[in-house]
Amino acid sequence: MAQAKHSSFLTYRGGRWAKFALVFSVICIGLYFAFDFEPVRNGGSWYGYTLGTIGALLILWLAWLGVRKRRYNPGNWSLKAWTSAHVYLGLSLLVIGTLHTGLQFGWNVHTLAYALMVLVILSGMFGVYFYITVPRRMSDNRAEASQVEMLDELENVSRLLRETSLSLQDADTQRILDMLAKTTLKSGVMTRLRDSHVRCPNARALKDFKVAVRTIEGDVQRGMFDVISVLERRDSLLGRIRRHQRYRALLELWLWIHIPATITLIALLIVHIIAVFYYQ
Amino acid sequence: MTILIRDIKRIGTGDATRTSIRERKVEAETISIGRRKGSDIQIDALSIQLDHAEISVPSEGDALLRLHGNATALADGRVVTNGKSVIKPGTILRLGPVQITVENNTVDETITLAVESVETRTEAISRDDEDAVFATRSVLPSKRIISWMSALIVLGFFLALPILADRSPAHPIVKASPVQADVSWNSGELSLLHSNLKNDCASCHVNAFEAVTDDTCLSCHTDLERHAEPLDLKKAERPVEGFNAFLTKTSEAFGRPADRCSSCHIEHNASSHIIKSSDAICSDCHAELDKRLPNTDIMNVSDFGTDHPEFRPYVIVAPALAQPLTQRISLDLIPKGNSGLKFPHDLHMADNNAVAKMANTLPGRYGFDDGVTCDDCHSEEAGGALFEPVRMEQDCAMCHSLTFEIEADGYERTLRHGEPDEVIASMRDFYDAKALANIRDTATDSRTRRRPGAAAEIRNSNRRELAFKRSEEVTIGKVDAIFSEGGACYDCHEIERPVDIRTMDFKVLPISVADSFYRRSPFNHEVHEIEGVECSSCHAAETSASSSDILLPKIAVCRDCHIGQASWKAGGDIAAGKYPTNCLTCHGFHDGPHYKPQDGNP
Amino acid sequence: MVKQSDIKFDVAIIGSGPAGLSAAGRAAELGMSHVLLEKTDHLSDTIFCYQKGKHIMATPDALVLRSEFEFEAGSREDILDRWNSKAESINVSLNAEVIEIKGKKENFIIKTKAGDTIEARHVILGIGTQGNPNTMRCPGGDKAHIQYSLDDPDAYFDEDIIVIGAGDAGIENALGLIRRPELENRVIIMNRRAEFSRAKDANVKALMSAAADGRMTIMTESETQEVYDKQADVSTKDGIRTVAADRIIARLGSAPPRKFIESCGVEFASTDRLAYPTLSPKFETSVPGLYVIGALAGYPLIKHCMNQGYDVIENINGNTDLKPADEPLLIHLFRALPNPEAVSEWLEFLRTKIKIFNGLTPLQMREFMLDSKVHVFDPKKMVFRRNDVGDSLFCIAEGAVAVRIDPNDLSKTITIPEGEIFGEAGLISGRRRNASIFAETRSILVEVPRNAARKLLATVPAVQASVDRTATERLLLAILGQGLQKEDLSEIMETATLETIQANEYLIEEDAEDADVFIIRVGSMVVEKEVAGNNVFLAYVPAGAYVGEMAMLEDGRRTASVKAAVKSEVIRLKGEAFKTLLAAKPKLRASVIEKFADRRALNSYIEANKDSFGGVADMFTARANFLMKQGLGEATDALLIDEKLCIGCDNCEVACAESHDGISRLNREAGTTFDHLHVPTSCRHCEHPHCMSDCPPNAIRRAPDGEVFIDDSCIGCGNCERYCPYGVIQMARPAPSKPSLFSWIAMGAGPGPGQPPKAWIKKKAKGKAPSGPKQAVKCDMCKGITGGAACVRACPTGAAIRVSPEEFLDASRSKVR
Repeated sequence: MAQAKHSSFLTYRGGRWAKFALVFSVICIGLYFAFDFEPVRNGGSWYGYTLGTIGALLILWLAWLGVRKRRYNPGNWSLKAWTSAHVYLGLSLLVIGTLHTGLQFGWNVHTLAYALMVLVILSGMFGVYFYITVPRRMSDNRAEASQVEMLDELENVSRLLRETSLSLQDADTQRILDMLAKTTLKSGVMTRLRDSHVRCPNARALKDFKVAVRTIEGDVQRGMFDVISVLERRDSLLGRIRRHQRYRALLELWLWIHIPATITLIALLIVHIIAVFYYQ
Repeated sequence: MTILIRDIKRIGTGDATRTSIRERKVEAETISIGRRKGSDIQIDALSIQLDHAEISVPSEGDALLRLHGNATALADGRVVTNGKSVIKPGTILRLGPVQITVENNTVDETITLAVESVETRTEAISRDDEDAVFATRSVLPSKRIISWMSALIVLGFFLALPILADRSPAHPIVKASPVQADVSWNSGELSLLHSNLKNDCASCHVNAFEAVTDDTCLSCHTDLERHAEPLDLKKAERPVEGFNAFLTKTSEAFGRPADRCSSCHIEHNASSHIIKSSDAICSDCHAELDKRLPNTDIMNVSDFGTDHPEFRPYVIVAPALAQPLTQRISLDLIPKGNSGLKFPHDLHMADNNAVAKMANTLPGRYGFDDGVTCDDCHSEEAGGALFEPVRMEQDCAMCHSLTFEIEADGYERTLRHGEPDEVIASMRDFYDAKALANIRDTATDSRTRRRPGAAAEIRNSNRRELAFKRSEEVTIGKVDAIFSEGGACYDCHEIERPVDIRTMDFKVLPISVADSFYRRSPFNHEVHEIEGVECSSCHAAETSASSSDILLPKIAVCRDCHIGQASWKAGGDIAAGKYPTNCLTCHGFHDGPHYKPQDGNP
Repeated sequence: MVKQSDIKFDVAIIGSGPAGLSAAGRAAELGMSHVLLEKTDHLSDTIFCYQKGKHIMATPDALVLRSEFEFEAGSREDILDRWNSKAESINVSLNAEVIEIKGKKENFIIKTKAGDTIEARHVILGIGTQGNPNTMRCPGGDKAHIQYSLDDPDAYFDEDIIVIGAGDAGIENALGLIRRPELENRVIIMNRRAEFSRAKDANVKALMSAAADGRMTIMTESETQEVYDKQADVSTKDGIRTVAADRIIARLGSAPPRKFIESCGVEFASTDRLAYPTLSPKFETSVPGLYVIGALAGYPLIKHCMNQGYDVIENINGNTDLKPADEPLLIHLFRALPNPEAVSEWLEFLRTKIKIFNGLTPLQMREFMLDSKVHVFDPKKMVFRRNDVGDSLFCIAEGAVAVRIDPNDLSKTITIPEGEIFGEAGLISGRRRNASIFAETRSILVEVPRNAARKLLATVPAVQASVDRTATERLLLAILGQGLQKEDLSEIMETATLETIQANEYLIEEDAEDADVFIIRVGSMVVEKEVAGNNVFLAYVPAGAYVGEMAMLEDGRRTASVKAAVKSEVIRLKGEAFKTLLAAKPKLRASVIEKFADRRALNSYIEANKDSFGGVADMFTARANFLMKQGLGEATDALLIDEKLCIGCDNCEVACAESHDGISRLNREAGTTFDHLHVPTSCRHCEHPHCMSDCPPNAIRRAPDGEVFIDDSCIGCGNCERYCPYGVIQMARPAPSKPSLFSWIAMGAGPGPGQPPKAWIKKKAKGKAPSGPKQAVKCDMCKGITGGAACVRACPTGAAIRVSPEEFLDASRSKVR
């Protein structure tokens, strides 16, 4: 029977890298306690140097993903496999790095490097979490519409709104004009993460119009009902766009910590290694 | 009245401009302008009122523009608000996005309104904004810039600055730095003894990329003993093989040669002991020392609990003032010492004998409430590790009085301790003086006061001679008494009697009391002050009848509590009264063979 | 200019395309009296009507050009300018549309629409295949604002435009006119019928959506009654309406030139739409002295046409020994044979030896051979293996080949003798080879690629019939196996009929009482069963399998429905005849029953669990139907994205662009989604690729691994883009080279990996016009790149996979069960 074709990077080859990372971490922990390291267990012992070397090389290798994934050809390689290895070996780095410190911390570059490494790994864990949870919601939300299609649709609906609003009374057209001018989507990153839709000028105008429409009648009322239906269409579209913005922010934002922290970590690793040998 | 309305549409710019013109005629006096459907000039813009304005063209004179409500318009760039305004031919009106040019037709004298939309409305957000709307990168600074900045800051503050500070401490940038530049490199707190150096990295780390050298250490630690002759040291070491050889080579490759001070003394571990304490450090040489140094008298040892020879204290076999003769004898051989002193511990410590009784007569003042105990004579040193030397005046004299005569008024004449010649001299003086005093008493007697003259002088001279003679006899007797059995000196000291007693040439043989039996492993009594551990737990003083007994515990006694590293690892438990013991528990590496016991007091 | 009616020309050339121009140029050079008749007011109308600046290719490179006219790759304007200036030396008559050619060699009389009569000794027809557009016939149908083509849709502004015609041409014109809303054109598309059934789905969809948005108006069941200057009367369901019309664009199709040519007495090779006139090696038709050259002679490439013009004039001028310009190409083709220089002898050898070539003219032979390959196989050498991808047809000119009929027993073979063909199954079904074939003796084989083979079949109906029969026979043998011989099938073959089934048409209805068995020759089928009022998807049946045997075996009713997933061809075998065959061959019967036990098991499973079937089966069916609708029924390999895993990083697109000259051939976001399964806009590598159907240089081919790709000989005509129903082909030119990856990563130099934005390309070009033509680009499955499709390789989460539909539907079904 054919097996299911789609498999996530987390389950790549039955979690090959997860197993590898786990075994490797357990071995490292075992060795850590198996030997005597006088006078303390830390980076200065031979095991400490070994773990440090492995850790530093691992960090460089993990960071190399940024280059590897962009060197598309030639290649008999799968980015999924690399991602899988990146995630699990990255997690094992937490073990290697911690053992390397021997839990000796202080206000110095060495501990700073460790802290930064933990920051990188934590941000990566957030990334994995979002990679697992967001896509399905994003897919449901966009419902086949591409980003450009959403914007085109918004442009159409806005145009339709302008056209439909032409029959409104003068005060109401002004309201529509103001509302159009205030509706923005190029919002800052925090706004994107929050559910900012409730404060949308469009939503408020919709609410007001729904109240106002009850007090009028005849053609004017029919005209306003038309406008309300367009506003509702626009409201749901704006909601969809904002949710899409939010999902994309969730999927991408962690990288703003992960990448700069990684680069800084590499710089700090250089400092750490030079410092250790400069004043050895 | 016929008004021609010309709707103009234009697209493109410059040569590419394309124009579409459609004309219609309106038969009316007034042209309505507004958003309302059916207006003569309908402007589909939200900024235009339903009924925005009207243009009326009277049969004579210029056209009139009338704006309704709050509507505004521009006429040749000037703002026109409500009310009527005259518009002359050629005027350009602007209503919202639309421009209306009023033209007079010269042929039929009607007017033409050329209507053209001059403002193309674009939606605020279009497909070109895809990235601005959706891509997170459009609202955040580039990851590349953040990365560079942060990496450069890190490299600047934590790499460039410390190196600069090391290379040229006088550089203005270094001076301007509020904190010491290389403080961030400190991998851990220094040990307490070195903590004064914490702001002076260069005091130890002299040259960049060079491991701390022994010379640097020795520049402060000038009086260190050598552990052994360097050549022997080298020979004694077990050859480094296998993985350890690899480690040694690797660390040498990284500029960290082995066998440096800092191979054992590892700094920057704060509270952790600065000294490596693994037995391996010692057993590397000492486990099989005899194989590599056949002539050594140092015995093999690898683990305190399982592989350590019986203790071999330095025992004084011949006391001497200058250089007592000592010999290392294993406790297994029940060594006998010779301190030159007589001191039966059992006699002093017995519960019920003359000594005890005598002690009981002296309560309070000397703390003999519970008989004579160890600390009545042995007092701890300031640190508590060892004991003060026992001093006669302090520790013995309360019982062992040096009084040789009590005068009539009760004054006790005592002897100086420690100087036999002085003792004899002062006794002779005492008795001579006493003899002289008797003569003086006789001369002042009236019965003996005769007429002055030679006979009296002769008589007086004879009496003095006689008195001195007698005093000599008394002195000899008294001196002989204190140097003989029952005498004050004899009780404790070995006495060399003169051949002719009259010479009074008594000698007290020299005393040498060992102040340390173990030169390489000074014992610390203080740390052993534990509930349940008495002096007698280790020292069998109560049963020792002779001062030649060496009252040291054998290794087995120590092993009751102290277990070696191997056993400790197998399951040591302090709660069960077992303590981990390694070489450094007792021995110091630098307590070398050149250690000399201080020539101390007896 | 000479007044035509005064003299009798040595040669009259009709049509001023590349072929005609070249002929006229040679005639002028040789001093022959000649006239070039062109129906429009300019030369070379086809090229003239290309869009502005279009780049024209000069393929095949190996072919030498024989012509007085220069021709090398360049822009439309360059080429036309050169030709126009050269044309000053020849005798051209513009606006001369020929309506009649009478007479015979030495005495042809040509009549033009304008009423002129021209006499000529020889006539050369170079009128191409486009023919004349059908014109409006209603009153006012000759008004100046009526046009029959649309060169530049952006040329009009603020106009009321009516587009008449329900085909793709009309719809594309209408959509083109509203492409830029700022031009404010008001467009009406008018269709005589209620439905746009002739047009491609994608076009109709786009049209409907434009109408729904109010961007244009659709008038169905409407016809123009009369055309006035600014308006037209249109009959609608509700009566006559007057509609504003600044311009009318009529796309009413065109009458192919065949009728006209036949009226001149010229014979055609067959009645097929694709057939060409029967021509001698010298391009002479069945009417002596009347020649046909150019596209109408079957040669669509400019260089060929120009050479023919030259050659024909030389021939007329008495130079009968002139070897055709393609002689060196044929010598090269025959290089594996002894004495390859004897081209005409070899051509004759092949023509007489190979049965299906027998009916061809030497000229046709020449043409087919140019597309084909000649192989010499030593004994035992494999020609192809089972499951190889290949859709070319092999013909045995000498020797014999052996077919392995049983993949499990390699010793079982049958021989295909000299003169026969093989490989037809792959050609017909578009699927992988169903048997391995090796040379039995030393054999000379001609390999005819798919397009040439299909053209050949179309041209010679007898060949088509014989190939069909052979194919059916062999398909039956291959499917049934069990040592059946050709003779065993004679009875059943009598009942076999070939049927074409449209997509979504039912082949078998559940509960019907017929018992015929169908072999799927082309396309694929979907088996469905009605459960509680819903059709549950049971199976996907690809070409090369058969359906309907259950009812036949059990004399029962149909237990399930079978409908075509895509337009398909089936062979219908009468149930009774099939039964007789099975009765005679118990072994075969057992094998049929055993082979399809699976299908029966599934059937009974569903039957048993009918009542408990819930949403899962419905969902699965819905998904299967969705995939079928997305064209996976005809796909051989499609990109599917699991949106539960897709993080939208677009690395697949970037990888695609990086693997293909900076242009992505895939649009991840676009396309449809069902139950989080997303079918992006990307090539499905159809069994019978729509894109291949009209590629002038035959640049679209199927590679050995099954991928459909476009090679460098693409002339940028855009046919494939239009033919693809899935919108996966685009016209593009390679993006300029970018700074290195590291300078981007480190310093942000350039636009980064992936398809560069247009603005950057423009900036990079620094105002210079782009060089080179736009060429058609599409997914080639990263052909030639180790590791396979870059999109899949580059997916970080495992969302993107490439599958063939059977695999995917199997996988889906396994989940349900």
